[in-house]
Amino acid sequence: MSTVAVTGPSPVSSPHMDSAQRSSRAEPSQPNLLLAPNDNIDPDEALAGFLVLEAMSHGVGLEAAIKDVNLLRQQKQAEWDKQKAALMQAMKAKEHSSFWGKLGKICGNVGKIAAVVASVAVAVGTGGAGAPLVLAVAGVCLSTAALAQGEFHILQKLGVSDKLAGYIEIGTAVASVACSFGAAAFKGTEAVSAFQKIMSTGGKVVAIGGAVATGAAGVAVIEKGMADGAAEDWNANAERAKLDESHFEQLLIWVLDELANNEKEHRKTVNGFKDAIETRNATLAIASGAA
Amino acid sequence: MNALIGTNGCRPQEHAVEILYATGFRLHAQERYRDAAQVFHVMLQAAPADERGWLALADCHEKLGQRSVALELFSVGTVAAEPAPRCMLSRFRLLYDLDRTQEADEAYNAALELAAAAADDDLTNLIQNERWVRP
Repeated sequence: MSTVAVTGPSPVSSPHMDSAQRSSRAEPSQPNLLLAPNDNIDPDEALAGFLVLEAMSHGVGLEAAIKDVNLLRQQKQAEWDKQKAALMQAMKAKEHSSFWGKLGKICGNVGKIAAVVASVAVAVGTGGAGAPLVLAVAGVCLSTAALAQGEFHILQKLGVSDKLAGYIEIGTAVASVACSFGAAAFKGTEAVSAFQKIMSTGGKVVAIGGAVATGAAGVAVIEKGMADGAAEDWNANAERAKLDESHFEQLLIWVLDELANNEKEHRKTVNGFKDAIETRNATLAIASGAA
Repeated sequence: MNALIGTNGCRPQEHAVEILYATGFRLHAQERYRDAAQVFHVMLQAAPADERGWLALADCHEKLGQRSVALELFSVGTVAAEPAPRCMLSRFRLLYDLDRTQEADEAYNAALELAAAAADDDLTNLIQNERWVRP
C-alpha cells in the first residue's frame, strides 16, 4: 500500500501540509501523500455530502457544487465536440494505416471518438491542451468499471494480467506522447522511444517522431515508418511487441466502448447525489417538525 | 439557489471542486472507499488537472486491493495533472512493491525532478527519504 489511512481533514491553513504536520500524521516509513482539503471549506459543509446523511449542516454548498460542476461540464462539451470532429477528420485521412484505420472504424461505430485514443491523438493534435479532459473520462471509466466488476475481471477483459511481463499502463503510453511536448516526466526522445516500443510490431513502427516535430499538423502526420532497429532486433522482439500492441489496442478499444456510457453514468451519479440531498433535506424537515 | 453562498471568495466552480474534494476526503477517511471514489469521479471530470483528485481516487482503489487499477490512475494523473510529483511518487511506490524495479527507478527519478522543478523542498525531502524505505 502506498499511503497510510487518513483520519479526516486536518485544520491546516493550507492544503499543502508542512513537514512537521506530515510527520505527526503519518507513519515515518510511509508518509501519506493525500492532501488535506482547502481550509476555506467549512468541514460541516463538506460533511453534508450527499452520501453522508448525518445531516450536520444545511447542505447548500454541495447542491450548488453539483450545479456548478454540471455547468462546467456543459461548457466543456463544446470543446470536446470540437476535438472529436478534428480527430474524426484526422483519422479519416489516415485510413490507409492499419492501426489507425482500425481505430477509426471503432470510433465511427461508437461515435464518441474523443476519448480516444485518446490521449495520443488529442495530445498530438492540441499540444497536450486537450488531454486532461480526455484522460479524466478514460480514468473515470476505468475506475467505475473496476468498482463494478472488480479488478481481476476488468483486467482480464482488457487482456491484461499483472502476471504478464507485457503489462502496459495506458497512462504511461499516454504520458509518452503528451509529455513529448516538453512539459514533463519523460524527455522527448524517451517519449518517442517508449511509444515506438509500444507500437512496434512486425518490423514496422508508427513513427510518432514526425508528428511530434510538426505538432500543429496533428494526428494526420502520424505515419507508418520503418523500425529504427536492425532486422535481427525486430525478429527477436516481434512476439513481445505484438503482445504489447495487442494489450494497448485492447485498452483503447475498451476506453472507446466505455465512453459511450460515460455521459449516462455521469448523469446517474449526479442524480444519485441529488436524490441523497433531497432525502436528507426531507429528513431534516420532518425532524424539525416543518413537514 | 445562490451558487455563491459559502464560497468564501472563491469562484463558484473552484469552490464546487473544493467541496467535492472535501466530501470525498471525508468519505475516504471513514474508509468508505467506494463512495469516495464516486465523488472523486465527479470532481475529476470538473477538474481533471487537479492532482489531488487522481491521488485520492487511485488511493481508494489501492485500499480496495485494486493495485493495478491504482497504478493506471496514478499514471493517468501524472499526465492529466502535470506536473504531478505526488502521483509520480505513488507510481514509484507501487511499481517497487510490484517488483518492477526498472520502471520504479524511472518513476523515482521523474518524481525527484518534478519536485525539484517545483522548488518544493518538503516534497523533495520526502521523495529522497523514500530510498531509505525502498532502496
